[in-house]
Amino acid sequence: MKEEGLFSRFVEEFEAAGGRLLFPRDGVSLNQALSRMVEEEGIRSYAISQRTPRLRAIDALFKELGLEKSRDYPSLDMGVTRAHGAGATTGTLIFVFKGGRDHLLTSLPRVHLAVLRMEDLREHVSEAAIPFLRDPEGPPPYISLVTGPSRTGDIELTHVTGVHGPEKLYLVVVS
Amino acid sequence: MKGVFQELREYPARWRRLEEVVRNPILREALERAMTRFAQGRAQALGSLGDFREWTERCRELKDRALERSQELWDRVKERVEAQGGTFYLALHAQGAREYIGKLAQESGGTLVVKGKSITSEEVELNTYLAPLGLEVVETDLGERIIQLAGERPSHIIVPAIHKTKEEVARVFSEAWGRDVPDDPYLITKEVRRDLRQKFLGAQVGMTGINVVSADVPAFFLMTNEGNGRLCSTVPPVQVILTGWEKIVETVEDAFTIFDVLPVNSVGLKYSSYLSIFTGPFNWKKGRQLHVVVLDNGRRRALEDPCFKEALRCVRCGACMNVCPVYKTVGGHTFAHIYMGGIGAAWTAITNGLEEAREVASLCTGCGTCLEVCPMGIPIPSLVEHVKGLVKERGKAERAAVRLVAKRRLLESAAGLAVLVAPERVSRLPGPARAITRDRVLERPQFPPFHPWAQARGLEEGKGGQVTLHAGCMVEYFYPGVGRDAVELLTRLGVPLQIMKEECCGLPARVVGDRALWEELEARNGGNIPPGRPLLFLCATCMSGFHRYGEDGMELPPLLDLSQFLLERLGSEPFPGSLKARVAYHFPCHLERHLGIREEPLELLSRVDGVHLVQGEEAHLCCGGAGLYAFKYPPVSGEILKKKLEWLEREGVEVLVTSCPSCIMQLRGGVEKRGLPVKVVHMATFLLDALDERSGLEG
Repeated sequence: MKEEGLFSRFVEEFEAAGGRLLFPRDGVSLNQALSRMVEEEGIRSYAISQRTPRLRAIDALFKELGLEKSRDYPSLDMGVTRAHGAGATTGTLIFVFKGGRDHLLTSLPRVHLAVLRMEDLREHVSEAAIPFLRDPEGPPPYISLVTGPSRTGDIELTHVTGVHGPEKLYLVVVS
Repeated sequence: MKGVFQELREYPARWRRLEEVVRNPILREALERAMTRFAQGRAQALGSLGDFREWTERCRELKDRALERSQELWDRVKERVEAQGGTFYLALHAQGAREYIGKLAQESGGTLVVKGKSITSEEVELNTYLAPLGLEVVETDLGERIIQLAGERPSHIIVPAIHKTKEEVARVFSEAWGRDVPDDPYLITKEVRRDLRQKFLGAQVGMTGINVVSADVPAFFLMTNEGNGRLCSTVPPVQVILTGWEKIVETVEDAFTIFDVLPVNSVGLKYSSYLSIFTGPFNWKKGRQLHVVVLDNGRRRALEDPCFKEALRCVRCGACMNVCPVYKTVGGHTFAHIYMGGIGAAWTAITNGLEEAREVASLCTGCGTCLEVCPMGIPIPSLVEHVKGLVKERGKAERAAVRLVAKRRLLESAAGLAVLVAPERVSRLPGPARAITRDRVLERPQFPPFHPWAQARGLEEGKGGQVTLHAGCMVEYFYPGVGRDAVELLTRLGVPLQIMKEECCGLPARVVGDRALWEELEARNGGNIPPGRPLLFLCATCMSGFHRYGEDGMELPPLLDLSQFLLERLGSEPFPGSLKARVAYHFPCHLERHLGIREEPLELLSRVDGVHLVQGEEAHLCCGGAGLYAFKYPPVSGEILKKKLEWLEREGVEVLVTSCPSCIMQLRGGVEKRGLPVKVVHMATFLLDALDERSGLEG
């Protein structure tokens, strides 16, 4: 699959699973997309894992928007983390955790915003995950593969999102 | 004999219970909706997978490979888990697993245990064990939580509370929380999120099951949609994984292969929301622990059994239940011990006990619909037969019945007697037996049987002819007219025939688990088969029985269904006859799913001028007859039949053609009971009528 085809396939599957791509979108800058989402979702508090320059930039923007950065993870509106990879055929994101509390940002808040580098996208999710599992230094203790928001159909098969995990999953893809 | 009568006396009470189940409109509608949705979702999502059979082959192989060397693979996993500071415990029995987890929880310093949905934990009855130890166990899957609070058992493996309406669910939570909860699935879910969030954060122990364990890189794979599994695994300080011995695969690639198929096959999702992979203790907080409890509980012994071994491949996708006519009718409270459905019979035998398994097995019709959807290629109907064969204490009545019908002379006398004393049609049996005639009219045997008539007509047993015509017991005694029509049809088409000396094909014995009788009848029939010419069957079930002789190693001439034989003779020509009618074909389970004959009957019917062929997925549904099943569990059989009849009515079908006399008995009985203007006929009769261009069809 050519890179462009791969990306559009990924976006199609990601959104079919209930995720929303914020960026890149035609005619919308990253800052616009993020501000709009924050407003729509009524986000007031957030936390972010600041491991990459891009995440730091996003953090700066949220500060500018007046959001409160909190360490009380269970009551957060939004968690922001890096995605370490993705698989196009299922629209799945990969999050790799070695320790620390970052994993809680993907599981506890109502909204999860993930930031993926285009070059970490693979066709099948296993191609993205297996290199971590086969890391010569040893595999990370916990890898979380996420396909869309948390969902259930347990009551009369009615589709409801946000059961125990995030109700919304947003994605920013950078190159 | 005493046992037989005792069992017979139990039947009416069973029928009443089943009657209540099938008359529960909420359960029926919920099951129907869920399974239709899953089956449709599966069909749509399958497109993305490509050839399902190829996937099945891959999954089957990778799992068989792993099970073959499971000891070595688990040794590797154990070593790695321990090297990283986790503990690894092999529980030989359910009790060992319960006690180990109970002790862990008691020593954890807390009293709250949060749990992800795990059928393995149901198997060891963990919750009932933990409660008296002063531990609060909280199920965190929404459906599991509902039934936990309601004090019930899951009725479906994927949607455990499918039998509950939203009003009932709201009532359950209102009672549990002591306040009014609205009957809105969205609002209920949000309240449960709030409630359980406190439990996740406060629990000392989080326990989950596991879908797959890989060995090359030891890793535990857990798939969920709600996200409760990963909270259970990562938030509380003590993480407990409870997994069966059979979950092992060789490589992480193999694990991913299974997840390509599992959610698609299960509920029609390409991927579930969360796939969590753990390779050791996740020490994000000081003092976190990982305990891996691997459950044997009969699994390693099952590895030694060539039949049960196949059940160990099961990945619990539930697809077999979603298509099962019995499961759709009675649900997972009735058709289960702990493990559900036909596959559940085998699993109950492996893990819980044969007596319980026999009860589950008894409800299976053997239709084989599950065979078409199992991603692991598990021969579920054979496993059910195996279970029945292992239990001699139960099923005495059905074994006695099968032994009776295997006696040809006795049948002949009974048929002669019935003609003298019984009416042509019985539409209401007296006493408790009226359950049998509630949904169907019964036909009495006919006299003379087929063989004496055929001999009088000059056909000889094992002599002459190009083709051997096999009638089968049902044609012989109940529908000799079908045999006569077949002889007439084939003779007029210029096919010289012979007949053979017949015995019961043995299939009824085999499906009730009477191996000895099966083998005896197999040998007797084997000696009677005329060599060197094709064997043509009027009964799909007999043909399926003979096919199994071949599987057992017997050398056989070609076995052909009437449609196969005639189509081959016709080549590309149309059938030389015509009949103007709306015609549907009912696929007998044995023909379609056990013998794999899917195209020929429709092709043949479409070659008859004037036939307007009505097709639909309902053509492939089991009719619920299943030989003795209609007499054993009439309420279930009747409900299954209903779907077929509703289809005939909806489509305005005038003639229903089929190739199994047992199906004819069930379908004709149902059509008559319901007063539908549908003629149910054997393929031979239909074609003869077309040849004659007769306007009225006779049965």
